[in-house]
Amino acid sequence: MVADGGAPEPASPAPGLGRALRSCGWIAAYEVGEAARTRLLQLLLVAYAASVALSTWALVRLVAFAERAVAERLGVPTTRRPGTLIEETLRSGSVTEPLRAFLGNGVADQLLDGSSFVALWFGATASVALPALALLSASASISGEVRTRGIRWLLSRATRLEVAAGKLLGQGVLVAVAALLGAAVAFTLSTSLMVVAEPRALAGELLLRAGTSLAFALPFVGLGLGASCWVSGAHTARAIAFGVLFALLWGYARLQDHVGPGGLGRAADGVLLLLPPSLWTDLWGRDPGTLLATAARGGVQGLLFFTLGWARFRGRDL
Amino acid sequence: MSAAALRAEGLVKRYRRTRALDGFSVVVPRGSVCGLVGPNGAGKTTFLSVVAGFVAPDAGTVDLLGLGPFDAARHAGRVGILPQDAELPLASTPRQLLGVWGRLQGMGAAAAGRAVSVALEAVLLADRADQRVATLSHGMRRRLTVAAALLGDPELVILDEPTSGLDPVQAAHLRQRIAAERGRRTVLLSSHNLAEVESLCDHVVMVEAGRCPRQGPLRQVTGADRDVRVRLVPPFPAGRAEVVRLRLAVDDPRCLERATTELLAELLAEGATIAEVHQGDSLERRFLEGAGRLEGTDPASD
Repeated sequence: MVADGGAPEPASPAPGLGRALRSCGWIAAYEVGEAARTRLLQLLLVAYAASVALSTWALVRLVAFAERAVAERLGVPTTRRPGTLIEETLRSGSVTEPLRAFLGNGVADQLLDGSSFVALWFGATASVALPALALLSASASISGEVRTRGIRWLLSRATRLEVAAGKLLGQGVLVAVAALLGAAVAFTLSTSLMVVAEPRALAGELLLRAGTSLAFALPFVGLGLGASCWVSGAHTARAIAFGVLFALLWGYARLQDHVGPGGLGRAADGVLLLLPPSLWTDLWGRDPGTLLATAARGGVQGLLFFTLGWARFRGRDL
Repeated sequence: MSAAALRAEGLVKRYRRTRALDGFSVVVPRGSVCGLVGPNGAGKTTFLSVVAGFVAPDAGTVDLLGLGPFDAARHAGRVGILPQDAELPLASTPRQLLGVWGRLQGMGAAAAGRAVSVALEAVLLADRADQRVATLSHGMRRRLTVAAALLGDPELVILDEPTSGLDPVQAAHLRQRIAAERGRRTVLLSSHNLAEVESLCDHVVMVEAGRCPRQGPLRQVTGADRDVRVRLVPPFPAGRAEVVRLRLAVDDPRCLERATTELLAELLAEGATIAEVHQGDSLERRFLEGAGRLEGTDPASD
């Protein structure tokens, strides 16, 4: 087929949902590829892995210290590698019963029922470091390219929604990769520095915690990308993203005081469900239904923040 | 199929109190190589940004290839765009970048691979295809952006200052590359270099203070279709000055060549010695006249 002027008919994407999904996929792949090639994001990933490594090392030192203190008190020799005593102690009734009495409402059961303390420690670290990584990375995603106008290369080939959604997907993949990387680091360090009775079970536990920390990070991916849609320049977007985060934490704390019976209390409870801190308590258990529902809520929160950014991005001059 | 590759009507774009575009209307015929000329701040880049959909106009309409305003879902692959000052991702290689962009334009893997090779060869970057963009010189990066705009045989190519920052050799090569597109596709390019526009384009759009005071075929804009200047060598025949000017009226049925032949015959019969014959003015002179920046000219009288 020949176009006007004798030029061959150019390849043109077929309109519709299929085209949009393909474009999103290509942009996401491009985003991940760029992250792999860009030093800044490599640095963020290394920083995240390092934070997990440091946290795991700190745990090992803490366990070693505790076990040595116990051994000295009992007058028995210490083990060459720490881990055995604390694992057994945590599983014994002498520790779990007081914890259940203290925490009540089944939270202790969820925490201690079969969970490795290494995995719980990793989960606690990851649920702080991974959202921070997500926020830092996602907030630079669009805003940086708007500043350099590099976004125009994509916008001349994909719609604004495809670009934004593709970048959201790409950032989600990046954070997922970071979550897995962190779990691998925690597994490697803990199995090499401590006595781990069941390495395979620990690997499963770490993967579960990587998944829950990823679910917890999803709203932060949306928040970062949403902020990135509003402004030009990565630093400005990051400042806005962290500003909004602190405002949300403050609002969450204030709203908790208003939860209760009555219309206002229920409304406050409903609003709390839309804020990322509400995910924290529900992500520590092992019940698949609860975890999936909480992960879905994290995804919805992420999409909500993304939509707020998209409302600006769709019409702004780029 | 629309006869115009690009049609814009009544475009207005304000930045705070500044009107970057102030009722800008233009028609770019299909198959033409059209030059957009104007001084700094005239509104050229704003116009091209509006056309490409990067910037939303406050009023007015744009139609590209008869498919409405730019929408990547409809125009990707059919319209190639070289934005001004858009930085390239430095960590990628030209092959990686063009490959992804080709896929976004709807090409399959094999077609994208072929198109990338063709585009890089066209701008003499085939041997740098797998080097990171960060290692390329400014001129190479500029050529890469042109390759991106030409990727996949688009029907309409929009180039904002394509030769800016290039050395003379690179600029000449790029001009040849653009000239080779004549008749194959529509090219709309903006440039400060009026000689470049005159050598490349067959259609010209002048931009001044967000408006388009003049547009049309190059011969018409420069007067090459109706103006002839004949410079004589002294001594001049009685009643003749050094320059004899012939301007055909719009309703004059004669063609310019015939009228010129008649004038030259008349001058020779008067005993004049002819030094030079010029058809029309240079684009630069017309542009300066139109802008009222040529000494001794009055733009209102043209």
